[in-house]
Amino acid sequence: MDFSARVSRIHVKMVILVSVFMAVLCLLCVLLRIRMDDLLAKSMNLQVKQQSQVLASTLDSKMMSHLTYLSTCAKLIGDDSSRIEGILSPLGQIDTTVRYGILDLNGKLLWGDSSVSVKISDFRGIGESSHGVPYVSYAEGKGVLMTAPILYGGNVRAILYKLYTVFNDDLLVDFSKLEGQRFVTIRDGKGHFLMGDETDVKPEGIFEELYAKLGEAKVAVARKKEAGSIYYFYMQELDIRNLYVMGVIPENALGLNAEKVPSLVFRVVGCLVLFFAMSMGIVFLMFRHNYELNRRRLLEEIPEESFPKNDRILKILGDEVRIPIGNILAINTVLLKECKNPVLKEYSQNIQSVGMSLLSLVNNIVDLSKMEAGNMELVPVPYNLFSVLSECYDMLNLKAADKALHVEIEVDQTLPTELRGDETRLRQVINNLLMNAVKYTASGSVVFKVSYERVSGNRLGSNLINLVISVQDTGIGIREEELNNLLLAFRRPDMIGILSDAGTGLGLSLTNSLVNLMNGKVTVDSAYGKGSTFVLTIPQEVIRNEAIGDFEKRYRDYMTASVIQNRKFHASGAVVLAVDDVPMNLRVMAGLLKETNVQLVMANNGMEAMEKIKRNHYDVIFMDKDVPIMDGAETLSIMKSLADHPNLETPIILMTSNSVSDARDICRREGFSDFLIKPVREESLITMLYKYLPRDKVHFSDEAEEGDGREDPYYSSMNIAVPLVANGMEKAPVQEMSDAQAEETMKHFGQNLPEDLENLAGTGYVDVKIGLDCCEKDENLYRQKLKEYSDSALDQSLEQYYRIEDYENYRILVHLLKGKSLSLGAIEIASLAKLMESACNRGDYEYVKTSHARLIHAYQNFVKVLKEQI
Amino acid sequence: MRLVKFFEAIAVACLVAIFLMLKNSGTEEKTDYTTMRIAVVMGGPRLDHSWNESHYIALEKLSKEMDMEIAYYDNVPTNSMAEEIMERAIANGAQIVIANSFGFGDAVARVAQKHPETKFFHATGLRVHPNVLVYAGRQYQMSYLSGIVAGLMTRNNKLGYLASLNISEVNSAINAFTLGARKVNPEAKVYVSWSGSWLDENMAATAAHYLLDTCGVDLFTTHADVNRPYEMAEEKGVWIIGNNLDNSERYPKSFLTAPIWHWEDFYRAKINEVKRNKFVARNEWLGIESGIMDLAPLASAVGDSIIRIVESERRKLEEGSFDVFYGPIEDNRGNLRVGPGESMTDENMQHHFDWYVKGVVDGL
Repeated sequence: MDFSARVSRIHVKMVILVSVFMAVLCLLCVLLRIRMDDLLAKSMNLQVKQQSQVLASTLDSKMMSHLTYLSTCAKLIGDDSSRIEGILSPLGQIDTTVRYGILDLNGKLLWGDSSVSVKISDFRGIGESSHGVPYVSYAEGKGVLMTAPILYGGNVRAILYKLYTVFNDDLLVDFSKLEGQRFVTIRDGKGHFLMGDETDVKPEGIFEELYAKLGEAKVAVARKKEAGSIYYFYMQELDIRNLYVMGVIPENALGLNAEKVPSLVFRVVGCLVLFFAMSMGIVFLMFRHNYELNRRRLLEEIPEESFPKNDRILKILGDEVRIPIGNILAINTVLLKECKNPVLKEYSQNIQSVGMSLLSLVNNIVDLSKMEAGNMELVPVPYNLFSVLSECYDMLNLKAADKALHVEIEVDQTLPTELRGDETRLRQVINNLLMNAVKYTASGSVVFKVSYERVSGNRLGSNLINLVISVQDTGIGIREEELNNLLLAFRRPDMIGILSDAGTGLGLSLTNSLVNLMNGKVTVDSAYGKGSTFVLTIPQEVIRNEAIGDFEKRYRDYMTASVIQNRKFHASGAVVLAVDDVPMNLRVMAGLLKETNVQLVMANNGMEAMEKIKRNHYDVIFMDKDVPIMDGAETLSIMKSLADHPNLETPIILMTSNSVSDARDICRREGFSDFLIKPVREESLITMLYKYLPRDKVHFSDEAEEGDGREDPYYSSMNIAVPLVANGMEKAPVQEMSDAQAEETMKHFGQNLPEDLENLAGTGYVDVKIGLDCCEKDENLYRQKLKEYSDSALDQSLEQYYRIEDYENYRILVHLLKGKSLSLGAIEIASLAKLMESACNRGDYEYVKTSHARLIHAYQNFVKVLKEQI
Repeated sequence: MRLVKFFEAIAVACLVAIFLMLKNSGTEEKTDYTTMRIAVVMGGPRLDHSWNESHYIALEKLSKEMDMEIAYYDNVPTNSMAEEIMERAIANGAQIVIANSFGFGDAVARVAQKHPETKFFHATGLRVHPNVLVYAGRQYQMSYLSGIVAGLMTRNNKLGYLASLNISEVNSAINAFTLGARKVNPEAKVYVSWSGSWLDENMAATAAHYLLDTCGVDLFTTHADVNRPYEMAEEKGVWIIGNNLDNSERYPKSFLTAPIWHWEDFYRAKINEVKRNKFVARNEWLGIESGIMDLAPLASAVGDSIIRIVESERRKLEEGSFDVFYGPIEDNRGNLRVGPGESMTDENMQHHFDWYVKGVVDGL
């Protein structure tokens, strides 16, 4: 992380902002909680109030009913005073604590229980009833007095009273039927308990608090927490002056379970806030990450576009670039060959060398991108160390010769040759080091040493050695600080590391990465101005302990053999098929093979090649990987599946612009005999041809050496069997062609056509050349086939099947059409038919429906043209 | 720095949310404490030195101690005008309408029905509605006490009673005055003269003339909300017992005393009830013990012995052991209306007082 002032400021600002924001959120949370509690308490209060009112009015109406009864009694007495006893006796039966009697207006007892005196000064009700109003009054310590006037002629004559000295259940409503546990009491204005259910929950001063609140509201409610639970206390004045109903309801008895709501909401909101905080954190980190990334890009001034993360893009790019480079090199090869002017030849050579380095650069990029993506895999195969070393040495000699450098090689004579490992990669790293040495050495020498050490303590049965390859040069060397950079670059085998150390090239980094991949290591020792030494140590498995012997001697032998290979030979009787969709490539091949007098037959696509293969025998087939209609591999597999054709034994060489390792993979997988890397170099093409041509068809220019019978050390060491033509195998007649004849053929292909076919070719519907090839160059046969084709009227049958949606027959028909069209060279229609056929095979009838008209149209046009022309 | 802006925006949003939350919670509870708006509808001018002024004084006193706005509507006739004015007052936001005359009964009943959320205080009214409180004082108790003063102060035993309307309220007062006077002076006779109006000064003057000139009373009392009779008494040099308000300073020579009103405690309690949602509509007929009425300080002409008698009678009333219309009571036609040991019911006193006790000489 960067802690520059600017960034720190942003950091601090961000942190402060985020924390302020979080604090605000928390505050919001707390406020929400408070508000929720508040609201809830309010609604609880309201509920309690309502309950209290219901309770009070129930109590009041109960009192009222008693009073009404008393009034009725008083009225009866007023009507007939003689019935006093009868009327009042039911009153007396209620309870012994209830007294009743009749007073006159002065408060004197006229009738009734004299044991308790009822005074006007105690009970306001007596005065009120003197004015003819029934009344209930309470006096502290005396009880509740109900009074009703006894009227006589419209005037109050006496007062009937009923005194509850003790509060009894008669006055109280039975609340036990109410839900939950409720404690209802009746109290006077001083808080004295009069009746009801007392509760244990009785906070200090609760009555006083409620009483004070009653000044402000009809019902007083107080929320109290006692012994961990919440209780609602309420109080309300009854109709009877100075009497109050007071009660308590536990919060959970309110039946709402609402007390859980705030905590629930609180928790949910809390979770949300937490979640939010986490998201903010992530956003923040992402922001930081992006910022760091941008900063680094800026610092290193590497435009983002140069390094797409996606290695696939690089790989595709590499592949795309390789093709044009290949083409350039191919043309240049021909140019080089044909060119007689020494100045132009030099230019051409320059093009060649720059092109080659460009190609290797692209290959390196592709390899690196693979490496970065982790797609690079080692393919351990048994290989011969000698051939690897001699190839490398060969190349070293070649390059060193250009710069007039002295080359030395020292190979440990006891070095085992039969090893197992990734041969391609090994070759690549050795070459890289060698090329690097040559590149940075202006004069002096390059010393190439190979030795090995046994790896001790390895498992039984496995036989590991460490190959030690050292390349010493007398070049410019590396400054100490640069050496550090170099090593740093080694430690960072990524694009940025490589490009920031421009000048060392991709080669060293790639080398290092590869060596690491092979569990080996690279060490560098360098003195500036004196030269450097790179030492590779790579573990390899020994298959057979066969010593390499005297390398230099073997190499000389090999070179002698190479001379044979490099000697000009011609094979006039040999017929070679080259399949490539790029005409230029074919032309290049023709150019390269010109001197060998080999008859070269060309095919533009797999289908065409297939037709030829079925008919004629070829000594060698060069097959490009990516040809239209059927690609190389497809053609090969069809070829193999066919039981009977003249090329069962013919070696098929893959031509590809992929890297060597890929090509090798494809070869192994698909069953090609060998491969040629495009752009095709003359030497490799000739070598390949020599390798696979039947010996009896090869004639060296100096006949004296021919038939020497000497065993070729190169081939034996390569362990590659030269395929021999099996005895008794029927061979297609081979047209002997002189140079002139070959020229003729070439021309014939392109230009010398009869007028009618020429016209036909001019329409663009058909490749007459292919058509003629299919007819053994018999123009009449071709014409006949064309006529048959135009008469076949396949379109009608197709239309019919299409209409009734009989796709199975449709498929067979398009297959037929494909074959017929192809044999005529009508590639466009053949391709369309092929697409239709595969669509049918897939069951993709939608595609068939959309493309049917196109096919029919093309077919009909073609037939029309045919009829016009022939 | 888009991120910073984003944070700032959210922070601001949160602050706004908090503000709204606090604001919301702040306003909810206030309902109890908003300014009370009260409209007072009066039959006469607010400064009438009488009934209306007694209310005005009390309410003005309250408006100083309570948070309320009072709109006075003076001289409102008791016809449909009263209704219009009450409607206007309610439209202006009045939560309580105080109508202080018996005559507004119909208007109050109709307007109250249309505006159930508005509370009505109808003084001397009789009909209770869910949002109408009716209230009055037992003025007869004061009349009784002032009758005692009158009975002892008269020399020719001819007492005058200037009465406004022939209604139970006035009749009960005439009877109580007579009972008081005759309790201490069995020779006393009360001449009643009807003015036919609570407010009309000229009709009151005519009625007073009758008492002074025709009946020759040497002391009279008024039961109307007028002032002319005081002036006439002051001119003639006869004792007068006033009504509603202590006017002794204005008529120092003749003014003995008057039943007066102390409305402030009553109104305070009732307005608070409305404020606190405790309002109960009922009919309150408040006695001397409630404190809403009193006797104006007796003039210096009234001797201590008289005062002592008045005080003792007053105490009996306050205790509730006695009231004015306890029997035996005979009417002025010789019928025993209330037997010994009997008392009249409130119902009869308030609604059916259509007779006069012995000693009342019916007037015009």
